Amino acid sequence: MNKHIIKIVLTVIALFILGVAIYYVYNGTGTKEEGNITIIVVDETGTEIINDDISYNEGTTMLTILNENYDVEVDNGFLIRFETLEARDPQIAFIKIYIDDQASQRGVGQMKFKDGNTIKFVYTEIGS
Amino acid sequence: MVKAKDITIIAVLAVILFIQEQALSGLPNVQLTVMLIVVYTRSVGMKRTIIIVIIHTILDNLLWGFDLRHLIPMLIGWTLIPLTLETIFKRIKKPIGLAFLGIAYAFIYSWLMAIPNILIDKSVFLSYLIADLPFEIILAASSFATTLWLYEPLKKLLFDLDQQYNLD
Repeated sequence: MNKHIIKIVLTVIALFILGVAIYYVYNGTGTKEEGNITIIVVDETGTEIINDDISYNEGTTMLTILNENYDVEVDNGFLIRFETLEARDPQIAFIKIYIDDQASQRGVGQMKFKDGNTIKFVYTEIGS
Repeated sequence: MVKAKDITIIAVLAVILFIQEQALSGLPNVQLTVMLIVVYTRSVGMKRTIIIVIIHTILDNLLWGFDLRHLIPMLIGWTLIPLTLETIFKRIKKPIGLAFLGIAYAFIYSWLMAIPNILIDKSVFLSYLIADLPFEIILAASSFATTLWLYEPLKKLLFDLDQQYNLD
């Protein structure tokens, strides 16, 4: 195989991977089916300030649910405000996300959830 | 003493580096930054490229919000390219080798950008790493493809300009 063909093959592979990754960024994180979840928000005093049951449609992301139902603010992928609860300085505190009491490994844009889950947003101070 | 010619070259190349990133900002992490830094290093040398990288990093942070937690890893990530290309990877001259290095540079840069999140919380750091993975792949793939195809023509273009205007 000459060098030109190798370059073309490698480029096609790179572009395919690029396309899959871009598709995933825009579409790959939605839910597989419709359902209901419970959204709980806990403030800095440990008080539940929100406890709602929310229904969602297939292909929805958590960010979409939050944007459609609440006044939230996201900065660089991080949830920094949920209604009146604010955690703007990550050196002081952040809003930690739990899915059925397990810490979520993904942010609001990418997290996976399913029907019946309880999603808890807890104001958490650094080092606590 | 820095010559006026040096200042001009650095300014023009820094503007190109900065503008392409802003022009492509509509696409998630698709950019020519890695490829351009590789081309600059091999065309105008390590010292001038490091100055270009510093200018680019400062401009980027001024535009998107000045934060040392972003500025420092960004500066280290981009400066690693000219530093390593002119030292441990000096022998790698072919576009295909540089393209594979571009993949490594893209991931190293992305992981360096993730480090400040450890200061927040382990779960935030893990969340960031997982959420950032598709973006890292996009940066790596675009760096690979652009270096593979554009390195030689752009290096030749800078070489021709060098001959025409005696840039060095």
